[in-house]
Amino acid sequence: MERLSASLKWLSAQELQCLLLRAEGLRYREISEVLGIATSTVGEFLQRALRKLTRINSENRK
Amino acid sequence: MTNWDENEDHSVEGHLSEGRLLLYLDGELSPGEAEKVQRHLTACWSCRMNTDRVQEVVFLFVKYRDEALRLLMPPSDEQGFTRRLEQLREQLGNRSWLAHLYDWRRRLFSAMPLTSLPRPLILAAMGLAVSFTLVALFTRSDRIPVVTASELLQRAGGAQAQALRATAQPVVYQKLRIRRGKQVATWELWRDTTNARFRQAVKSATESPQPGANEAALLSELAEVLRANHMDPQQPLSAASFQRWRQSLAAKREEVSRSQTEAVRL
Repeated sequence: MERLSASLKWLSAQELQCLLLRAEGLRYREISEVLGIATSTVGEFLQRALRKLTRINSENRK
Repeated sequence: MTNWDENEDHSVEGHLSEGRLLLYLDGELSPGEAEKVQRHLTACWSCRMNTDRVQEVVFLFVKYRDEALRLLMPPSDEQGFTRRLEQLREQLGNRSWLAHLYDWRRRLFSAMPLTSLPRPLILAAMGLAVSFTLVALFTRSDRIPVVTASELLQRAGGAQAQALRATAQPVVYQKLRIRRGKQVATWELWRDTTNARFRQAVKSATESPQPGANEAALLSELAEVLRANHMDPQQPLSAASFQRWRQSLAAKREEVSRSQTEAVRL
């Protein structure tokens, strides 16, 4: 859990916002409405955020 | 290890791209595309492993978020809350010493007309009452901070506006628990203050034969109740809403006190 907490600092504010709203159960279209960005951009932010977290999670496990 | 190609639907080795996999897991693909991905996953162990990696991080993130929220939220103490409410009701139900004094005076003077009393006794009684009132006022002023509810609400509103200005793309999130009789619901609101965007959702905790219709009716009822009280349905229980409600009142009786935990109570 501490590992994840430390890795969150590598995310941009928008990436973190998208992750939090997605975790709340919002669909991409709904997140795009809340943040005022395109639906495809939501997907890109989420993808980038999860890629960063996956990489850090894998590195820490080694 | 699979090499991800970030811009294509498939990675260089013909596997599913990370983006496509995420869209599939989040249910954002069309049924036809989702079926193709499903078929690929059935056949490809490598992509199934990547699915697990994504799911693991999602699981860790949700767990971390729940833990962080749990630490932020006050502990649930419904029984204690109900008990305190009962105590408050009893206190309010008990008549104040002023009410008893008023009753005593009324009984005395109804039995004995004011004019029949000796004039020095009336003057002495009036002097005593004035002194008593002054002592009561001064002793109470030691405990009540010199601040009005209006001033506090204005300060709270100002502090929130300042916090919003300091945040890039602020979104105000409110989560309220609504209880009416046996019906319990959670009301969530997202308010994008810069782009004037708003979204809300209400989720009923109690089962109902028509869940969707029930929740829509509850939302419209909540908005109606808040509007009737001069509150903004898009920001319920906010300092701004309380200020508007307070301004709408013809008569105001308010008390501001500081509790032992340094919280200000209105």
